[in-house]
Amino acid sequence: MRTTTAVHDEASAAAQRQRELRHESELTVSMALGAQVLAYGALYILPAASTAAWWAVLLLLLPTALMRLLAWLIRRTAPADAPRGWPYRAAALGMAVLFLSNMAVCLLTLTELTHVFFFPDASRFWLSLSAALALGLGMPKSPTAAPNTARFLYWFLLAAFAFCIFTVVPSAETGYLFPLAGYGIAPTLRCALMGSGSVWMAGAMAVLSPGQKPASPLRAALPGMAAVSLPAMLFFGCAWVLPGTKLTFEQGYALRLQLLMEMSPNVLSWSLMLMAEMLLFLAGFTVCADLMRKSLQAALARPHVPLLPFALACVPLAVMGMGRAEKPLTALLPWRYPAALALMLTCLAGNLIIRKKGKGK
Amino acid sequence: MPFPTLENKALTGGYEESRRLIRAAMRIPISEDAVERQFTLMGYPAALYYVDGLSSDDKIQEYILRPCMRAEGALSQERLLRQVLPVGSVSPTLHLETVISRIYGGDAALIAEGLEGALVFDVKGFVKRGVQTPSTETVVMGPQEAFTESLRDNIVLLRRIMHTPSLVSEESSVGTRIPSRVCLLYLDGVARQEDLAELRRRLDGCNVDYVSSMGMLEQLLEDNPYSLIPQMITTERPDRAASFLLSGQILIGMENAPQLMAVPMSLTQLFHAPDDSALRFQYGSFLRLLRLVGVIISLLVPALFVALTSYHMAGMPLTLLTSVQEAQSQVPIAVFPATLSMLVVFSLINEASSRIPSVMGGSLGVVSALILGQAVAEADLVSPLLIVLVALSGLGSFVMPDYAMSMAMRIAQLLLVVAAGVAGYFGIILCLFILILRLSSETSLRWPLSAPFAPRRPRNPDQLLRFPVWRQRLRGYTANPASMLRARGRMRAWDQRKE
Repeated sequence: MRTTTAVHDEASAAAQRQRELRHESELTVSMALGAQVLAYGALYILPAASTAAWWAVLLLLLPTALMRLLAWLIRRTAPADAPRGWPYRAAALGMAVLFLSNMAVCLLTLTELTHVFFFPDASRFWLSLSAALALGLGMPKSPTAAPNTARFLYWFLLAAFAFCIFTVVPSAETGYLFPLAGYGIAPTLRCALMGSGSVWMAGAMAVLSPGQKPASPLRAALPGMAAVSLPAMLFFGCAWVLPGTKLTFEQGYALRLQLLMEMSPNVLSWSLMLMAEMLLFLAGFTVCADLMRKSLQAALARPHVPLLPFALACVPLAVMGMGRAEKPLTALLPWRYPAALALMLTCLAGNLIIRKKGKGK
Repeated sequence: MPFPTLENKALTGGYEESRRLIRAAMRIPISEDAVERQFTLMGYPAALYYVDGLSSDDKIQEYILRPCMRAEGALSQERLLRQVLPVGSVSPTLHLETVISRIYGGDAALIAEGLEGALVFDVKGFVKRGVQTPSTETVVMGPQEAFTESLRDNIVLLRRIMHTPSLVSEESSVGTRIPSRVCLLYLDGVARQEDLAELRRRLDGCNVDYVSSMGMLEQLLEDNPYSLIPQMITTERPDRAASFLLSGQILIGMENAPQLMAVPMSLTQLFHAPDDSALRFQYGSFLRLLRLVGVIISLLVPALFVALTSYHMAGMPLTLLTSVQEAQSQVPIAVFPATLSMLVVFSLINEASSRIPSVMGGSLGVVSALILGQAVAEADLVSPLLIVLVALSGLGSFVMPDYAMSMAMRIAQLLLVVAAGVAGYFGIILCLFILILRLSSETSLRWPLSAPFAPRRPRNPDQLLRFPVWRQRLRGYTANPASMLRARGRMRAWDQRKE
């Protein structure tokens, strides 16, 4: 006799639902991270990747592990009776700003991609405005809409990218994988430092959902793994298909984005890849918007925060275009990791203070 | 509160007062089919009320009037029910509102001097349609019976399939002025009590004078009436309704509606056809994959064609581009308006074929095939390739087993074509993304519509693919967790191989 099921009573069903919810949150962050890594990849990783060793990205494991460790500590030390105290609210407010920057980068990338490859004559303003309005007006109030959409698209996007890569790689030019390591430790470290700009999200869920118990080790590692494996794969792809010459900033953001995604001579792969990229950036825009909204709701203790103003606030950066926005962005964005680290440390310190006061009483 | 004027009125004021109240309520003698039959019952004046045509004359004469007129002795309600009246279903009542409601439902009411209130007899005898074959859910294999407009018959059809007292039917009514009978059907212990409570709450909260159809009731009950996607699934087949019950869903039946509605539902159920489970799992899975391909073709092919030919010609292989350009150079209308108008024409033909009398069906076929297809192509109004694509996308929309979903797909198809015409790939992606975003937030009786995939829920492996029946150990994710398992132990217990 065998009775195989994970769900057979109310208690285990509730526990399973809780686990699923946690998993969905992590998966949502992973998707946001994917969009970010791709966008940042075109911004500053690619030029660095072509001069440094692709395995430099493995150095990202350290900052990612640090984020996950902090997230774990925050959850462990969270007081049960006051899960939404001031440390969380302050951290959530800071996280909202960081998520807003993610939204802006996603919209910028989407606009740039559409502008360069589909509508070179169209105005960036209308392209970015239509995407911002679509999100601001079309986004349902339901808190599950963005995570569910991320889950819906996750496997489709993975399959689409896998299909593109498998059809492209065999016909692509083989670059120089290992000789690039000879550039030395400085470019390698620089590459890792820039890559860490998006790793901060690996710990974000701890601040947004402090009451939840830590997920199982494998699932909890998902965003962290994604944070490391996505850039690693991208770098590997770059090193594989690109000749080992240094790519300059002048070569264009969208072009570099395409190089990052291994531009295909095959029309079917070409169309599918471009559409998959657009869908990914749109999903990244939405997911980050949702996370920003949740952060703001947590920070302001308000049940509803309108999205439209924040979506519209991202339009000016997209209108600037990469030509003007690239250098300030590459200078500013890597600082987000230390900012997120400071926020999470504040959160942890707040937890410890509250616990100490509780024990004192 | 079906009749506001009768509210809180009771038949406790004696025979003459009761008579006056019932006559006034039934508009006697103005209303010609409202019948008042006066006679003497055991020496006392009595009256029987019914509606001509709704109640059976034979039953009234045989089981009420004849025994009453022949009865002798002292008059009492106890004696009438135990010794005089050989009618199976009799219920005494004091409320005028109930009496009138039952009379207009086909029952007959008896009042007499010395009797308190009225006795209501179930003597329904109105005309109704017999059980016929399904018209919108036809199958190759499986039962060929469909629900009818009689709610009682529909419940009987279900009980004939499911011989269990666990199948509970809870009767209720909606409509404040003219009530319509509504019935909740569920498997006790399998359906969730909180879902039942929510459904009862929504039914009680329907504040409308009359509900004429199941579609109207659906709009009153569903979570988001503005959504393009249906949130309740209807079926006209008893076997499919039984499968909904087994997966823990609740059925809503309504008098005068030849369908039953199931809640909560999952998006994947819209892809399921009734004979999927009657076929072997390999064939069922193959058919479901075909449907999925049909949906993708129907939604995306016209829009992609418009985007490719209008904005992204470099995205087409050279040979296809050449043939498209050659065909397009012969026609005066641009691809976007031509595609849009052909899709509208296709919908027109589809709508006309649903409304047209069957004797004229042949003429419609000639009009659509010859005039709108061949002649339009020969006159070089649209390219033959476009006609092929529109026909292909039309075929794709027809493979959806659910009519409501098929309608939603046709609307989404038009939206996508407009988006492609305005902004090419960018428009398609934007429109598609918003559709997915909206879809992901929809719920059915507060359960996520896109579950069990997004969000993930424990599920029976009978979703987009149909796994073998012995692998389907779980009910739907909306079922009561206590009875989630459909079978304990091996389903093929005789088989020694590993399942």
